[in-house]
Amino acid sequence: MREMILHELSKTWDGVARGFAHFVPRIIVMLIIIAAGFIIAYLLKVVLRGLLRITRFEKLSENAGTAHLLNKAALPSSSELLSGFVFWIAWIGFILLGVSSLGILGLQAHISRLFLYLPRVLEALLIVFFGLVAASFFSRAALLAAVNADAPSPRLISGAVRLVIVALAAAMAFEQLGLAEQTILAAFSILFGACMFGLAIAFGLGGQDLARRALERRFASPADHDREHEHEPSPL
Amino acid sequence: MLSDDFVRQLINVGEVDLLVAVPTFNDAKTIGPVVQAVRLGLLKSFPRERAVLVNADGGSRDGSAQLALQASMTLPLNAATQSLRTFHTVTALSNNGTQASGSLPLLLATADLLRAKACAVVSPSEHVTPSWVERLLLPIYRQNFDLVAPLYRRHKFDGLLVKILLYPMMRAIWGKKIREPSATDFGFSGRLGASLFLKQEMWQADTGEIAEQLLLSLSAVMDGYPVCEVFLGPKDRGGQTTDLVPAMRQTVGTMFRFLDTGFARWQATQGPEAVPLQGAEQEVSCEPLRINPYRMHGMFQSGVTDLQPVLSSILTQKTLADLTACAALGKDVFHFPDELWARTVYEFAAAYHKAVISRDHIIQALAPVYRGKVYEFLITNRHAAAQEIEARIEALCVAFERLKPYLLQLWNGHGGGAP
Repeated sequence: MREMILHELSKTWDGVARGFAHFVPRIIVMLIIIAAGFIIAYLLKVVLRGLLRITRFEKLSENAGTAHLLNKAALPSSSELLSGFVFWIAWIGFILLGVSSLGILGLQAHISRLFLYLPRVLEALLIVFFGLVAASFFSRAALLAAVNADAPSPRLISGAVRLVIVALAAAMAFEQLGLAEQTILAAFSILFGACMFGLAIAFGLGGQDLARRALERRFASPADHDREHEHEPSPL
Repeated sequence: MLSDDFVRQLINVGEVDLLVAVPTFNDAKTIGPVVQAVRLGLLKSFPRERAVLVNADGGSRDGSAQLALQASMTLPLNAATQSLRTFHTVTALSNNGTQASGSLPLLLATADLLRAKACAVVSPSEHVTPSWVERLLLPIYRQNFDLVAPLYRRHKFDGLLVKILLYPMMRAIWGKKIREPSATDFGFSGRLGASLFLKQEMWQADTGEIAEQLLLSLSAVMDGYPVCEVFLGPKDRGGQTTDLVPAMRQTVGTMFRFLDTGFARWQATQGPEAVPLQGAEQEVSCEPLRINPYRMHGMFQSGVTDLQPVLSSILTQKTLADLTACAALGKDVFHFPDELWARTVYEFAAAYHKAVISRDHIIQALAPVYRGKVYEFLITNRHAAAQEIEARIEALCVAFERLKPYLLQLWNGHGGGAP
């Protein structure tokens, strides 16, 4: 009996020792992958930062007003943010690769699903970034056009343009992530449709005179146009 | 750029001494008399020279091009001079027939192909007389000038963008007193045209957004070509855009763009010098004109308030604070100092150079500020005579000249501390 117990114990111990002997190299492989991943991700970050500096990405970001937004949110500069993002994406990728090398059943399926999801996260972030850039550019263009046309409430017009573009970008990003696709799409369609319908009614009914003047300005003959400007000194 | 049909027309013409261009865009009312005036002018003053009239039409829908051709075939009954040469007229669709401006690249190419020694561009205005042709071409053809800039008889409140921005900047930056650097009538030599035609980088902007005579003036001044001024007569009040923003895109945009191109030249340019004047001085008319300046004041006030986020990325804190204080002044006590206007324009020019935001947005943001200075000009000079107006423009020019070192400081990246 005692011998049997000792035998079972030694068998179990052997199994644990054998399993451990098999597992330790995998842990070491995982650590090597994670360490190598860190170095590669860091190099990627440095290279990307350099490329962004050469292509004057910071300037583009400043022009588009993104730098201002990031500054407001107490975030680092856009090139720093983008290169940091690439670093973390690359390193997390290597960490997951290292973890999958442990060969734990079930975990691998989750990891591969996560891997497949990463490009969509990246795409969604890009959509949001360019959405913010476009929103900033077009809202400023609308503000300047409204001010120079002496239109009422230029800031409101500019804010509305920004809101619509940001909402569009957010809806597109959520759709890309596959989060509540139908709800987001329906919400955006209703919001956008309601805004446009409201504006059309406001312009056509509430602002009849403004609409008439705008249409006259657009389609009137040059002579009529000149008459309209007769009280303004000619710039040239 | 040149269509096959147009090149065939040019081959029939052969080489010429003189080229007169009349750009048209729905100018059926005036084109006939203008073409006849040009033809008479050429006959009277240049009977022995080979000449061609080029009608660059921007896609008129009123038959301007056909009318130009018809008018060139007949001489008025009172024409006493006989032609010693065959007079050629060619027509071309400029700028793909989309607008009035944008014909200069076509004219430069034509002048180069025909080896024209002297060229003149005459706008289809009702004031064109045969003597305009002589005045624009003679200094180039006989006196070796390369650019002839016009002087007009104009109302004191006409051409304010030229008076309070382009002329002072031209004087201060490029050191030449050219009163009308952006007019629609001008003359240029074949060699100036050829040198400009080869500088393709200058045509990078959409041709409709380039002030063509300004481009020629700046190019001539930058490359040291001799320039003179001639008095032509009254200036048509119509014919040019009355919309401020497109006018600013064309002229101020061209001026700012040239600061980039010619930095090495303008940074070393010393004090302004007058250009030789052929004939009479310019004239200023002061008859009453119905103008509503108060709208300008309102647009300046609302513009400065609404555009704070945009202006803050263009102007220094001090200049923006001064502008904001200026915008807070009431209509009756309004004052926009010359020094503040010059400083604002220079900071806009530096922001354009550094492209702190979209360059088109920078030009658009200048429009409301310009309206403030225009309001002050209109109010201050309401009852002013020609000499007083001249004295005020001179004072403004001096402010621009005094602040040129500040522009250089901004250009070299040492901005922030307004003088």
